[in-house]
Amino acid sequence: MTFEADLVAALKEGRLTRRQFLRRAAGLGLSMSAVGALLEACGSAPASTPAATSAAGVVPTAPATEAATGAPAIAMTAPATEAATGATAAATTATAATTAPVAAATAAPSGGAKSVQVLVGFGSGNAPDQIPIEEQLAKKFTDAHGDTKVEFLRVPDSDAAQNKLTLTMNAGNPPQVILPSGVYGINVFIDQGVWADLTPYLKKDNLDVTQLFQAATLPAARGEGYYGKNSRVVVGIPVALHGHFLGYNKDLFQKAGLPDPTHTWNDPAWTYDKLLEYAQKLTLDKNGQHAGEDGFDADNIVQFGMARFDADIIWRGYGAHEYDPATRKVGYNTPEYIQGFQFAADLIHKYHVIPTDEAAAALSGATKTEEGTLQAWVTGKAAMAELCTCDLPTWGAVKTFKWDVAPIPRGPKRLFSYLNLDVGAIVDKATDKDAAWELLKSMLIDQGNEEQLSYESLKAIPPLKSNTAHFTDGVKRDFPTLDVNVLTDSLKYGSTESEDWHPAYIELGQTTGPLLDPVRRGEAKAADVAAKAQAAGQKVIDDWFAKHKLPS
Amino acid sequence: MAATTPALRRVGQRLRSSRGREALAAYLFVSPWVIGFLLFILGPMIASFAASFSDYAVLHPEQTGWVGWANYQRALFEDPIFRQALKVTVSYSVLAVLADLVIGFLLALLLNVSFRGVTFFRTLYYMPAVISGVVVSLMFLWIFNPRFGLANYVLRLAGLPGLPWVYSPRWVLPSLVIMSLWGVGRSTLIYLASLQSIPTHLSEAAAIDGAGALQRLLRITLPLVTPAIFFNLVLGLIDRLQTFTEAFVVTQGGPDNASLFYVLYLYRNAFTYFKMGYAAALAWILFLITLALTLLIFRSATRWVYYQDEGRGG
Repeated sequence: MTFEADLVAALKEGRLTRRQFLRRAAGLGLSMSAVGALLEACGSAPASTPAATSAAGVVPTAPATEAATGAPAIAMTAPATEAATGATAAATTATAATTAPVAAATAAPSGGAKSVQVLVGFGSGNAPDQIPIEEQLAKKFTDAHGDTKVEFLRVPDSDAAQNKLTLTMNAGNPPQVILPSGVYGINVFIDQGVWADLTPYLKKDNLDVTQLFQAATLPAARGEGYYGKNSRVVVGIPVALHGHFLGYNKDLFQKAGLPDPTHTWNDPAWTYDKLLEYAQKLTLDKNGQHAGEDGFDADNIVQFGMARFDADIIWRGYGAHEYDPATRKVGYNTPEYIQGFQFAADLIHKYHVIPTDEAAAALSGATKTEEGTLQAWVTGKAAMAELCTCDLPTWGAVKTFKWDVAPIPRGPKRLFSYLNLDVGAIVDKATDKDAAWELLKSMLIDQGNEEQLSYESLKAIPPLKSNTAHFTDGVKRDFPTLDVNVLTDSLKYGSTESEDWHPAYIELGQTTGPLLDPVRRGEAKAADVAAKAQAAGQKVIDDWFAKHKLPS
Repeated sequence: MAATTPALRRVGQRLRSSRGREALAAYLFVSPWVIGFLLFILGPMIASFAASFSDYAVLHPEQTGWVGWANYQRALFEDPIFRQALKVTVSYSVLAVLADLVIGFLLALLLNVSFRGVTFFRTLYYMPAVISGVVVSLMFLWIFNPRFGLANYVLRLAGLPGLPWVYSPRWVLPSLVIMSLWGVGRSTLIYLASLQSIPTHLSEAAAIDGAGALQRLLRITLPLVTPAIFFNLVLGLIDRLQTFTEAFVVTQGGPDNASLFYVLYLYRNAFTYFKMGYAAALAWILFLITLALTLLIFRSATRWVYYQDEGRGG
């Protein structure tokens, strides 16, 4: 199934041609799902690219009695067979100052050749322009660490990465490092005790995450959703921060006689209502009439006010929560959720300022329906779009019109904007975690390497405080027309809370999603489905607590 | 040692005999299958049966505890998504098996006629059945695309409005049933073999007695292919109850769980929610449902399956 999913995703992402896809899929035969899973479990799936394989040399096999000096495992997951002694690579590592990024080079470990397997696929990191930088940094690490090689296991998406990690863990040979992984990927596994606590390594090397990294990264890096606000655990080293913002088409604003939106975050005048007002004036039918105007023809829209504005941002702006850890209740039936979720659906189905996927695809000529809305933005058929810094290389590559960036507007109750964080994490049951730590330290805490990985490869805001200027300089160089302050300020007003851990992390969404989807499609009202979603969601949460306890 | 020597000698003598050698060769030839069966089928079945009474946690099995019948109780009495998945799967299975039986038989009738190039057409109709389900799913994802898919293009050519196909809770199951017909060549081949085994003199005699084509079909051909219908019914039902790839690749169970097939839900529990114990219980419930339906069909076969050499009844 993983092979199949991999193939499907690879095809979807254009990494396989149709011919290659057909050849490989046909090779799987009619009932290869079980065989695929079996091969995965045996760790024999050659997921790395040829280049990565050659750079890595051989497949790693770390000794079963690998040392784990100074790395106390999380209580739930302490591997019974793990030895607690032995000389390690980390023991020879030079100690760095608390606030200064460490030097990449450390003394080479003694003993035979080692390798660190890095699973890439829980977030970005597999794009053609990202891979060379990762491999360059891996080579640099190997050069500095003698015989420690780096092998990348590349899988196409989060689902495939999840399968890969689960099956290799069951087979007893998980990759040591997951890099990069969105907070989502971390939280899928955090209550399964998968991640190593990195605090002993940080302590040993005299590193303080509060001094090193942007404050916005810390709640997620510490797994506060699961371990609580006073978490003393560090489950991931930040590697990339992605702020969200609105992109707007200056030409269309000018044509509609509208002033540019504010560039100041949390401006009290920049609200959802103001956004709707602008969006209506920018949504035009074939007769040139705008949305909200008498005689507006909603069936023949030629230009939309917005390409995308995520519903989850909007209901949070209304003050709603999906799950409240204090009361252990889901919030689908709260007035805030109902109003916010309904408003998000109304933007599409009542006000007609955001297209459906289908309408956008038809208007923009997108060949993939799911890309339609942002294709409408990039082809100038939608005047605004909620974007992420991660979108800059793709949906920010606009050539045909002038555009700039504005903050996400305030909701009725609060200003909420996404902040997506990617981290690097170490699998607790993996062997040779010390070498894995050395790699994380080299790639994510060394200032020169981190700026390469975070901005040049991932087009993200570097989480290292000392690298902020690199992002500013990079945006000025690559996107000279954009107001870079809007992007950097997105850190102050954005939050990683949308990806916070909650019980039954995937199951909750997969249970309630189908109940809420009719609202998204405009076929039901939020108020009508809220009670059912609440009951179903609460049952999932209650079931989780019936069998699990939160760490104290 | 002295006591065992005559026994060993007897074994040696048996092995040296031609029957002994033959038996040894037979055991050696079947041993790969037997070993594979024990290791990869029976062993995991026993393990999954045991797991179904536990809260087996995939990633930290050391925390596994016995929960008795709790997993079964939850599935049968407390889990609304289980009921939805079962409903979807049974509805789809009934529709898909019926469609396969009828269309497969009609195609076989067409391909049973002698004409120039019939071998080519027989091959052509069977070929799709050997293509991987993932490839077929991807292809139908395109065919069913409401905007640029082939299905709606054809409908529009005929002056009909397009349909939302797999993107609509109402249309998703019929769409998947249509998609399942891609593999109809498999049952067609079995019908064809059955049709060709019908003695022509029966039909000729009936024609001489004045039976029309429809009468000959209903009173001679159809009864004589009931063993093939029975075979296709049993295998088709078992196969459809385990539908996974289509839902996994094309719909992911949506929209609104309208295509949440049983095995997809089982898979999610095992590998996404890490509830392997519950997933094992779901697997055993499906096994029992399949077994019960199969036995029911077998029992009913005595009423409608006709074997030429044995008279009525299966």
